[in-house]
Amino acid sequence: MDPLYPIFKALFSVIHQPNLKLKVPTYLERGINIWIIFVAMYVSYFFIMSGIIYDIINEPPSIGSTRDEKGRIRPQAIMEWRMNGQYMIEGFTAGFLFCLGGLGFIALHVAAEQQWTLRNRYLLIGAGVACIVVAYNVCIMFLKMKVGGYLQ
Amino acid sequence: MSLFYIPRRKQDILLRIVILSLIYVLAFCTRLFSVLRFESVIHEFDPYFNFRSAKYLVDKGWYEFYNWFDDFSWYPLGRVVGGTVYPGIQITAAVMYWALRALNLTVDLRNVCVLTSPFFASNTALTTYHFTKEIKGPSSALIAAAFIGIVPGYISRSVAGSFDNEGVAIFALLATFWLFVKSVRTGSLYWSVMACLAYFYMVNAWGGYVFIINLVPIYVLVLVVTGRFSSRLYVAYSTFYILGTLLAMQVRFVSFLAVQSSEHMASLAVFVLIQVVLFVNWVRSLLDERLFSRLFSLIVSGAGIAGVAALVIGSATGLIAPWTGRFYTMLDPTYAKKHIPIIASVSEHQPTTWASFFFDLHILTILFPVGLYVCFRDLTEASIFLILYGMLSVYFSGVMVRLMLVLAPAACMLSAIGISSTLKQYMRAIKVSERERRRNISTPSNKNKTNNVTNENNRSIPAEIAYLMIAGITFMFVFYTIHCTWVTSEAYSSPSIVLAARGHQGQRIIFDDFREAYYWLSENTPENAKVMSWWDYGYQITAMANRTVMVDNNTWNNTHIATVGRAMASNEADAYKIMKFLDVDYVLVIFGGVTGYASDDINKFLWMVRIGGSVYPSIRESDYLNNGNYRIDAGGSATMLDSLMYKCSYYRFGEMKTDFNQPAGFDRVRHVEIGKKDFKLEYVEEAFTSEHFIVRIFKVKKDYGVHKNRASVDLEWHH
Repeated sequence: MDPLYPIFKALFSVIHQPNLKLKVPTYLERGINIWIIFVAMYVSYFFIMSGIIYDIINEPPSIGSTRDEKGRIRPQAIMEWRMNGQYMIEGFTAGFLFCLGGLGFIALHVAAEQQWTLRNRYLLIGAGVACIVVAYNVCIMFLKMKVGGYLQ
Repeated sequence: MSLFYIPRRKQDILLRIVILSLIYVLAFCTRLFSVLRFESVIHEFDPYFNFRSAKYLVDKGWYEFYNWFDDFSWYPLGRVVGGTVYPGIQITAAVMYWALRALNLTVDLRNVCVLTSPFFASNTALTTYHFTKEIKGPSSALIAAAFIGIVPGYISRSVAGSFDNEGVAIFALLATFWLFVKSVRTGSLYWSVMACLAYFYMVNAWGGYVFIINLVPIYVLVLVVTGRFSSRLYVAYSTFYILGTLLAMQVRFVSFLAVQSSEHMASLAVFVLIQVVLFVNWVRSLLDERLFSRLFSLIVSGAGIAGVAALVIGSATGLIAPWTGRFYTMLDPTYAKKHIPIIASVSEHQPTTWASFFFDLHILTILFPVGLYVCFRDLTEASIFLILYGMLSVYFSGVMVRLMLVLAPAACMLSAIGISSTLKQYMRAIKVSERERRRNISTPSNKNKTNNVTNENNRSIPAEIAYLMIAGITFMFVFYTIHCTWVTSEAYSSPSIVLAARGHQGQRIIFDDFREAYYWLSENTPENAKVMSWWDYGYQITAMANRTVMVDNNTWNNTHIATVGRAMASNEADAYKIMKFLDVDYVLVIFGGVTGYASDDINKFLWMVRIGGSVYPSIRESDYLNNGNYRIDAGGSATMLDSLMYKCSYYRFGEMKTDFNQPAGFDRVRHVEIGKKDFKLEYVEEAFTSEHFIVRIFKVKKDYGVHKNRASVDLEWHH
């Protein structure tokens, strides 16, 4: 007997009980796959690294604009010379690059595992190295636009 | 045979010790840039208070310190320092000082304080080694220690001279985590007591201990939910909660908050939960299935109802203190911006941009997910802890840039685990491929066609490729090291009390205006003079000039700060009333218009207006703006150009030529000619201006007619 039975009995003597059939969802019974959790964490990592909290609080424009020497207004993708400011697109690009680099390293890690044929290993390594090289270099390029005299 | 023969296994240990000691020395040395470049000085703002109170502790002893009522700050209220401070850092410095004295090493307390943070950074590297070793073994641990030794996110708060709570606290934080994870693995009472002691040190050292007391319960909850509850976990957490809370209550600033405030409720709830879980397990072992399931629902609903009732009653009667503003900001990042300008105004409380992440962590931002992946691949109790720690700290550091400090160790450990497991894979590939090659050479005739095909399919990576990969990863480490060293040297080693700039020929120019002004104050003003400045400079003035201040960096009284903000924002006559009300003798402003020093009071002025306006509705931000723009040139609003802050900053600046190509009165921070040049000061007079105009001090004229009756000052409080 349910311990709450008297309460329910008193309650439903006043009102009609609805005719419902409740079931525990099947995915809860099976338990959630840990890799789903991993992917969820990866995605939230992407968002936070993009500085989404900064975007929410300070509401910067998605891209900025600047005036060149002739007085024309030109779009500007990166908020230059300011470490603690960013445009939204800029932030998401950078966050994407971090995650891309991370995927590259994961590919390198996976490539060395048991089950692969040599051809697949080469493919994974190639893709991984490409991701890492692109991600790292573009990040450094961005950083050079934001930090004056980087590494000088 | 040989005298220096060392067996294989011992070689390994010896190598580890050598590497660790190198890391230890490196972590210390890389933080000395500021001492070598400038001198052994205390940096920034908060460290000045810590230094002053450490000195008080050393001079007067523990009991005097414990009961210290500081009448030099928050005039006329004063501050109960003993009860409103986390005394860990002062005690640490004092103990080190006394220990060195006992060894007849006569060092100055200032030098002890300057070098405290680097010393603890080295200890942090060691603790990280042990923690990572607990999770993933010694090879990851060595890389983690090397990473954290030089990671900019941590260096930014632990260079020599930044004698601040965080420097010690990160060591305590990691020690607590390490010991707790160890106690969960062993289930030994000894290790959980050690974890409690580390936690006690942490509570003493930094308000960030709240992170621990929330992370640990979440971790325990996750273990329980994922079916990893064990008696080891029970022993570890029960001990940790009870003993840890009792110890935390010994800190005066925390005392009963440890059981009453909302921040600590999660730990209590989880503590109750694991008691229930254990009880249920015990009952289950005694009863048969049917009886048990009946009892189970009774227990669960009973416990649930009791918990909710306790929470409601506790909150309603005020027994459970509500969340503090800072903690609430963590849960809802927009909260501070809407409601508490004093938290939102501090630059280190700003939300983090991607550039800060990359600047402070460099390749760790890319390696972080790999570590996460490796931890997920082989889930253990310890790796679950690291995953939770990593993800939570990523979130928190996104909300406040200064919590990068908490993320940095997690990022180092995860990255090290990821990269070292990758490195290991490729090292193994080298060995396997060499073995294969040797086998092929030794048995060339034995080749079988089918065998060959399977070999072809499962062949490991050729040694050449593996070598290439390892070399590539090593290069990344080199880039990381170069980045960290550059960042440390260029960005994080400036004391900010002494400013450095590049001259036209690229030579280094030093502005020592702050100390010049503070020494002037201490030599030329009466000992009981009260100085009004914005709160940023409060600690420095009390510590260096030894004068009483209205407000300082311990921003405990928002109304008082708002009153000062209001005085700065009012016109001279109104400000005079407020200053008389507060009994102010001198006004101190920081001005960068001559040197181009951008973090001066004019740039902070809107925050004074906002904070002032949050208490006094008569101060409106819009009055200081012209069409939403903050300007100090001819287009600036009349209220702005008439404010005390404007007048003090730009007094006699209109006559001055700062640039050859510009008219007189050209402000080099805002890059405009100022709006109002020729004005006289009526209620205050200039007393001192430092060499480069950075610090300007004005004397408040005595008895200027109108005020006389203090009661006539009408400060409408607003709540």
